[in-house]
Amino acid sequence: MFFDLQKLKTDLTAVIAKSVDGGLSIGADEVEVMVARDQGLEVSVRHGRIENLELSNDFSLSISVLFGKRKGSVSSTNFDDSSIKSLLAKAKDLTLLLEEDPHYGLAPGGLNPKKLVELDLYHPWITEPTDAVAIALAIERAGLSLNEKLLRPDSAEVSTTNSLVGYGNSNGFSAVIPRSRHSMSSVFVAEEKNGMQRDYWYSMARDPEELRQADEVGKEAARRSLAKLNPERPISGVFPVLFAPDCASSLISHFISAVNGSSQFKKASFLLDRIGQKIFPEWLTITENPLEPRSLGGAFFDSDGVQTRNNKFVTDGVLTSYVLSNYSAKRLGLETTGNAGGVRNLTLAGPSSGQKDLLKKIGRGVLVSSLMGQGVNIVNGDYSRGASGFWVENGKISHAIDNFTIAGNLSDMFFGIQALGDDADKRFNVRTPSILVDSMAVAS
Amino acid sequence: MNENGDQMSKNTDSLLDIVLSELLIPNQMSVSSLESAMDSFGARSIDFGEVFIQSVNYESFSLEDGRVKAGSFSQNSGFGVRAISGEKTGFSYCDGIDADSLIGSAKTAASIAKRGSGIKRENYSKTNSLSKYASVDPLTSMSDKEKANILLEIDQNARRADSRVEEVSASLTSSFERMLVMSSDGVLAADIRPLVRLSVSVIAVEGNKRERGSAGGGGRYSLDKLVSSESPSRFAREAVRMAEVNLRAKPAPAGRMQVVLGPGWPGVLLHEAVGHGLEGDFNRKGSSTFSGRIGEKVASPLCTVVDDGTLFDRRGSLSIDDEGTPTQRNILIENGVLTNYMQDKLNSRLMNVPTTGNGRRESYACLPMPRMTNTFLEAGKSDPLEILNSMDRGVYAVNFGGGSVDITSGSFVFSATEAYFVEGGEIKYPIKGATLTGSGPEVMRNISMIGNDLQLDSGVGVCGKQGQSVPVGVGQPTLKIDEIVVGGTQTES
Repeated sequence: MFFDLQKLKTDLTAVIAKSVDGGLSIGADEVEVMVARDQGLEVSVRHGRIENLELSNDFSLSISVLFGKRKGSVSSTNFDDSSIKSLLAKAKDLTLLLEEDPHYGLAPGGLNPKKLVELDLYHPWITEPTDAVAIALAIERAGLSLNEKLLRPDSAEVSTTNSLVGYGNSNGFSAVIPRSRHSMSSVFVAEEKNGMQRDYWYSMARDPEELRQADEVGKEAARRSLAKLNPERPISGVFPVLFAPDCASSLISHFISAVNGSSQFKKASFLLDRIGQKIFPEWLTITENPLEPRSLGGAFFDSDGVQTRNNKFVTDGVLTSYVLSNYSAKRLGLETTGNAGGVRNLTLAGPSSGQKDLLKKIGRGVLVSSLMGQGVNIVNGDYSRGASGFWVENGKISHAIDNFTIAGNLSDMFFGIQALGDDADKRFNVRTPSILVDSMAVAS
Repeated sequence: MNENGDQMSKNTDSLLDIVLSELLIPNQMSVSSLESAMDSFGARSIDFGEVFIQSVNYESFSLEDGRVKAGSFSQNSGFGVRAISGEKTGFSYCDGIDADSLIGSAKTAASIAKRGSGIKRENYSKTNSLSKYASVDPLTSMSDKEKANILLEIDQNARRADSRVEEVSASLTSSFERMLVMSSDGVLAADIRPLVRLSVSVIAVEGNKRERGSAGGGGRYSLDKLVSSESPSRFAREAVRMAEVNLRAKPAPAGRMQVVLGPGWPGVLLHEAVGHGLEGDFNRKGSSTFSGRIGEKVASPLCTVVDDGTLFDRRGSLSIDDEGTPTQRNILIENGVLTNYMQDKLNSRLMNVPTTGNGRRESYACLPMPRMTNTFLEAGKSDPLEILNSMDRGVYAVNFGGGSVDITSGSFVFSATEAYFVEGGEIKYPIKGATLTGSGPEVMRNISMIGNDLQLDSGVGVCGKQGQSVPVGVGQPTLKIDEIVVGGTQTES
């Protein structure tokens, strides 16, 4: 079912060239192009039978043209010559209306990569739907085997996508990169007299060799659903809160939002102008590793076409760099950090301990395993979210809890990080281990 | 049928012809290309087959630093083909529209779904439904210069309203969707769907305090209608007012207490606490806290909850859903008793109940699911002021960011962005945004007073489910919940 990689690579390279040349020929000073072509297969099963089987075919083309310091952006699902031509004309029309921004413009050509870096991101996996179905069924069976009486499968999914993504600009840089992404996921509903609970688990990787076993994914989803049964409400008060890795990842993402160049120049951040100041405990360092081979966040150039690099955003607790694109850097009078499109493979470094030790450290408090709602205000740092998880008593997990909120201010929460777990989760672009925050208001 | 009705159905006929000619002819296709695709499902192998074709033009202008300097335009089109047998769905979609890939996809989808009871070749009848909005293209409803001027006017009004306003950003988006669906149950239907939205966000600063306020609105109409029905400067002043209130806000209390919700957008409560849990797919699978509870009391007897896709010009409205079923007014909960789930074709067939016009999909690239349209609580009898005055101690919340729900456990949250602390029936001071949480059925039982001031939101809602976003509306009158958890920082212990 999958595409001819070499031929498609040639085709996309030609689309980029046509778009760049077409833009220049209608008088644009600068042109920037992004193309993507994806093909995917996704299967879900339920109760031993196929529920959905989907085949996807995506095309996308985005072009930005600059006439002086005016910019127009257009996109389409059509790649043919006449579509490119009419898109460019539309982009030109847009620029006639829009006002100038002195900071618009391509990054200097010198910042584009000098040569291609092979990050080994393309590893096709399943080509036959029946193979995907077999794996999905194995996931469901494995999970169900944990407790056939209390568990009901909600869905087990296997998905595989092969993509080619391309970038090109009028400075002469252009690259088309093949990537694959595969995942297995599972959702179970657990039911007892006093109610139902659901939870899920998944594994995701560029290389199928790095996926977890089907068995493991199903069992983890089932285990998590069963563990949530018979929840109680925690008592209200101020307690230490341990964020499980997936929840901790959202916490660090809030930090990234606050030190993102656009939050800084819009002055929409509780961490405004804080370079050189202590944000986290002095033992914590936050870096990114965009060039890690086969990684989900792997990329050797960002969405401005700028070469990526190993940034250190936090060094010994001190904010050492913002997260900048070419545009936001110019707005702030700084150099881009190669982060157009976000951070890649962000990692926390510091002394770490196992979950047992972290729970001991808490003594009495809350382990949060899932968060709900949008109660995060990046402008002032106020944080109030719905949560569910486990009550910790005498340094051990006591019972499931839900229908409560945790609240605080992100500044205090970051400063109050007491410890890291040794369980960093590589499924995320922001790869955090468990994070222990010293005190938050728990309401229930 | 009355005269007006006849007129409207004629309009629908011509609407179908317009969409057929605009989506098919430029791609060298016709109705017979769709019929060929239906034929290639292979008559005996499936229970249901469907071809969905869609084209969406989208445009956005935005203002920052007092200037309109970002603009984008996109043109997306493609098709999705679905074949169902029993509970099994085969689905194949492709960006772009052409006859060969359509037939290829139909064969693929059918081969996936095979072994159904068989579909008969139907005579496709054109669905007649009343249009719930005008068939206008909002992108061309106003000159680009006028669009830019709306944004500039907002900027000036916001800065004039309060000198503490430091940043103003505003955006104006328009989308023009044309959709066409043919299915083996004899449906051939089309719709033309305009959608516009204006959003304003400001940041006001006082000393080292920095707060955001935002406002916006829109619906299924042209831009000139947006500007004439809702003055853009009103949105600007509303955003500034909200930022100003938040500059004075004190920390929110924490714990279980009385909460009064204002009218309109706080109806996100209904969307989360009951709406999602009443979608047919979850109930067919038995994974909703409301599963198997039709006829049971699930809310206070004061509550009647409705999902209505037929309201004229509303953001959540549709003339027909994405499966070609005309939308309708569905009473979900009547006087506290659960009466109905929301259904698409797949789930209504498997649950052996009628469709309700709630089959929606984000685009051709996604499978339809039961989704909400405009979901609201009917008006009650109480005077809103009387409701507020009846509070001993608690929170009066008038604006929310959004919410979410775990439909299985029933736990839901929604986050206030403008709220006040109330004591002895009087508003004391504004409080910082806090998340409210509870279990859907429990909170609905705790509703003790409902106002006579039903309002729908201004047209900004986006609902996400399994990765698919669709525009929706919510609404409610002022209401009182006797006890719900408020997630502030001021604990009593």
